[in-house]
Amino acid sequence: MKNNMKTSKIILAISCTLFMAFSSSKIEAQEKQNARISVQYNKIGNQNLLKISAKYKEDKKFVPASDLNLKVYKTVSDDSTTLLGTLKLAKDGNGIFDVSNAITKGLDTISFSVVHEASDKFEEASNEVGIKLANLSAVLNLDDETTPTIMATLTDVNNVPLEGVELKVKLQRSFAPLAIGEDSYFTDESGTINVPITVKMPGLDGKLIYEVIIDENETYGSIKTIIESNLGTKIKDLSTFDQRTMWGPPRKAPLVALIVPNLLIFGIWLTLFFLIFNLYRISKQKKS
Amino acid sequence: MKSYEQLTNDLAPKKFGLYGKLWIGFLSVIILGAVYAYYLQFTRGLEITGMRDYSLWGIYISNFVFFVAISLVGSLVTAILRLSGVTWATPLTRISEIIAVAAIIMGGLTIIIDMGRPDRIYNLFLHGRLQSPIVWDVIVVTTYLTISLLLLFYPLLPDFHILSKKFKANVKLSKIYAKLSLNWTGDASQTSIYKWSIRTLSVLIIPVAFGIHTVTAWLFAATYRPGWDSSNFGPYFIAGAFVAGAGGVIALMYILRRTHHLEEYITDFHFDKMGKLLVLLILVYIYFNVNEYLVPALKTTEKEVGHLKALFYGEEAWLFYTVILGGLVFPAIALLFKGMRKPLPIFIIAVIVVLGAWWKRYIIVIPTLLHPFLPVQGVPESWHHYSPTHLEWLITWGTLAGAMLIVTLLVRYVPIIPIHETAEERGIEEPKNETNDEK
Repeated sequence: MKNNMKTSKIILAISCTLFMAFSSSKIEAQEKQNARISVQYNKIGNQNLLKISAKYKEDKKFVPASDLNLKVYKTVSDDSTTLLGTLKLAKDGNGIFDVSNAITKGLDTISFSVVHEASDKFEEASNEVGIKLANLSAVLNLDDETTPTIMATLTDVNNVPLEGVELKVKLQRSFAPLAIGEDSYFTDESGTINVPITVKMPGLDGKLIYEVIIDENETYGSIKTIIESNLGTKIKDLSTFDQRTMWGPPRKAPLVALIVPNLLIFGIWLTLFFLIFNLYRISKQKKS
Repeated sequence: MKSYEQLTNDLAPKKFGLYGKLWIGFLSVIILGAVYAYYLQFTRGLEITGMRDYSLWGIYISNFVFFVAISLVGSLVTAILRLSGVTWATPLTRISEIIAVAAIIMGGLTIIIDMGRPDRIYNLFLHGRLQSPIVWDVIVVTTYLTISLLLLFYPLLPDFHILSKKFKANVKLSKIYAKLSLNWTGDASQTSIYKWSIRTLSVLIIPVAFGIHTVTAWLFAATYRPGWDSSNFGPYFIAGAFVAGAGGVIALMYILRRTHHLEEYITDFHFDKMGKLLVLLILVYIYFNVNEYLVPALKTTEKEVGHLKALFYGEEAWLFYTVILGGLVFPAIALLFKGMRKPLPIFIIAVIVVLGAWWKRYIIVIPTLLHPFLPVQGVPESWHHYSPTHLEWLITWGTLAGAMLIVTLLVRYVPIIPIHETAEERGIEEPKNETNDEK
């Protein structure tokens, strides 16, 4: 009995040693990955966002750096750097960080840096984006006599028009925005573009939503402004959802499909019940 | 002229002999096998069948349509011939009513067998749409079964009374017959209610019978598929049903005449008449077949061509010609000759007609499903064809055996030929204070 216990203890000790040896060698063998971080500045209306994504190479393929912890800093013209906050990327390696509060009045340029401090899996990594702040406004000029026109104006923070910047005009549709007019337009000396809307498009209740975009500009980032209009041709609702149809649910059966079969069923079964009752009458005839 | 006693002796149900017991045993073995096969289907699902995405209806549905078709004979012989004043059909009414009841019971059961999840059948009643032919089918099958049962039961009332007196020595059996006779005495008031009820049932069964098979036809015709997209389907199905039913009655007439020694009651004359009726019904059905195949063949729309090619000279051609020529054209020609309307030849022809009728339903259901409007592609090669599995066949055979067992048990306990009606027609009166006791 004593010998058995001794043997068991020796086996347990050897097993533990081997397990620790193998597991530690495995940890040592694991190499840290180099995450590649990308940062984009996006302005939609008055909201300023950083679109951040990260990936790394594994088995010659890029895979999302899921759950990567990041710190977001801002750097202004006097080179002062301030921590804005932290962000944990989603499983798909993407994340959005709102920097609207970081853009204070009077600022004309700003940089954002995104930093990942070294972790168990990843080496230290960072990236930054620097932009010149700009305002994009757009209006829809409706005149009974002329074609409706979208007029968009791009200015810097001091309201100085910005010339020669590429803008795109699109119409929001179900799956992806539809380009309106030419592929792109360049602002003139007054920072303006004028895009006539020549084609009538259908929209729910006649509503059409246009967007004027600066798309991934090196200086200004991405800026989008939205114009809502009632220029569309009203879409006729062809849905029969609330109507009585042959393909509708039981409660929405056409009246004729309810009345005629039910009358037939009622008439036949009433007769049948009477015939069954007649059997009872026959059985009672003797007694009477 | 036969005496009343001779008549009741001839027509009263008789105990099974050795062959009868063997027949019951044989049917029971098939049914038990089918029950086991269905247990496997119930636990494993419809994957045990040959049905797949395209051939989603197989021999179960062909079998269902066959049962519904053959059940229509109840309305043909009992109602149409009765209301037309055809007296020669009296010995055949009970046979046709029994066939109708057995077929419609098994038809209803076959629909449940075809269901992948029969445990959810209550949803049909909870959420069924009155716009759907499936719901119409459930309603009309239930109604037709009720009418058929009543039409079988009503004419049996006087016969049960006769049998309760005949089997007085067997107290238990006599009591059962007496109970079933519902205190029948045959007095004027009972007879008046009885006759009115039978006449009403005979009228009522005709539209319901037409309804049941028209609705079954609409299950197909309301679906936009090659071969089914036809406004002709209702009458086409009814015409086919009368052929199957008449064939079934002739076959059963012959068997019961032989086994129950009813040569004096079911005579060559009856076979001759039924033979002529069958010719007429087959010719009408052939006419509908010509419509059903010739019109789409002339239009030759792309998908119809694929379906018709398969039938005319493709995969199903051998079956198509066997059914059309062997099951319809040749029997019709043969029955034009008097000699072929004698009991044995017409029995063989009737069996061929019934077999042809079963396979006709097969070629209505399956080839269409294998030629859908969207091409069959991206699926295993076996899905391009339908081949019923052994278990599927066993279940189907089980339903057919079930129908035959119902017929067998009914002919054991009820008179095959209506005693009361026959006595009335032959002017044989029941003697007063009848004491004819038999075990």
